[in-house]
Amino acid sequence: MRVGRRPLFFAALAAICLGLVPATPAEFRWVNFTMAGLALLWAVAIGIEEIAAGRGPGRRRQS
Amino acid sequence: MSVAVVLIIAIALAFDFFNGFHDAANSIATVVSTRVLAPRLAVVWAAFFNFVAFVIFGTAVAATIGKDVVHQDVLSNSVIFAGLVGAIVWDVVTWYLGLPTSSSHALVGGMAGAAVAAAGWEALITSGLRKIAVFIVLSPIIGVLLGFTLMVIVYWAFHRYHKVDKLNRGFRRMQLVSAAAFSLGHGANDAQKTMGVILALLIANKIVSPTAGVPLWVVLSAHTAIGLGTLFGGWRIVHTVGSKITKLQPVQGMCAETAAAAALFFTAHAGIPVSTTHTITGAIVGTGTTQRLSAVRWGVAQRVVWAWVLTIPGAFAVAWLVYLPFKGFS
Repeated sequence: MRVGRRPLFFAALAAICLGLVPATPAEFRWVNFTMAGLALLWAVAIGIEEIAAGRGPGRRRQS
Repeated sequence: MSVAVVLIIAIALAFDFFNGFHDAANSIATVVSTRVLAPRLAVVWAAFFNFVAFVIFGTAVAATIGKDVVHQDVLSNSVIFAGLVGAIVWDVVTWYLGLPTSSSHALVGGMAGAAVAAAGWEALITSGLRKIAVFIVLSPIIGVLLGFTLMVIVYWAFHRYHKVDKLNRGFRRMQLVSAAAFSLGHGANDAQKTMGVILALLIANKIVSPTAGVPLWVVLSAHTAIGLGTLFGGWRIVHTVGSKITKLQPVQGMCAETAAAAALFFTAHAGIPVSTTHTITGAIVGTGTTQRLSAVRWGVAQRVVWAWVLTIPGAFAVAWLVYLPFKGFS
């Protein structure tokens, strides 16, 4: 089963936010974590929605 | 105050004017592209809120630019002059090419380039530059995520409401408020960068003490310059950001501006100089992503990203070259 591009897009944003944590000054790291959390939330939510609605690429190929 | 100081302040205000010319038009890009306001009226609207931003926000960003980019002892009239010229040249070139680059980062790149030409890499304050560099990447991401989140909330709240015309009228009215909020954030963030340069100049010439705040006349003149710049132009940039990245509906315009305004309010409060262009572009991409990724014209977005990547090195190199003749004199 494959997911669409949008969950991967948001997962990539989360990865960038977390990847920047070491470079971010300590007083602003909460921004990285908050944004990474939000991005992961949307990655998972859209992924579930696509699978449930049968709109993922894998499901399309089956039909 | 010497003639040189007055001249450099005039150049700094000219930069601020160009910033308005180049960047501030982004404040009204979405209002124009969704036809909520006619271009002329939208520009006046943005210019007004650019100007009044000084009443609401402090000068934390000005302090970062003036004190956290280059060591105070390196700053001199010639360094600040070369830095400003580097930023202005870069801005004019990218404006001519129609690229929504960042005047803010051009200014940081220019100041850094001139300082390095004057005193080597030790002239730079790495902690301050690191903060700015991290938020070059984070600010558009914040825009994307807040824009997307706001769109989902609005869709969820109104999904059972079927009077689409009435709904669109409501969002059009609300877009006036969101555009005003974004213009406030823009005025607070970008006008302060010029204030920071003038503050550094005044400190270097011992006109104000290093611990002093930004004098009121500097605050007022910077906001006036950016407001006037907004009045006079930037339509090529408006067109790129407002209609080429993704096709906008009033609801998307409102969400994009609100998301970007929230990000700019935070960064202005925290003293982080970010690009308003980066932030609104990210927010527009975020609202477009609620439809599907292909709703975003990635070719244009990619061109924008390249402009961002090149801004600091480009302005750095120009300022470095401009400073070289001064080095010969000293």
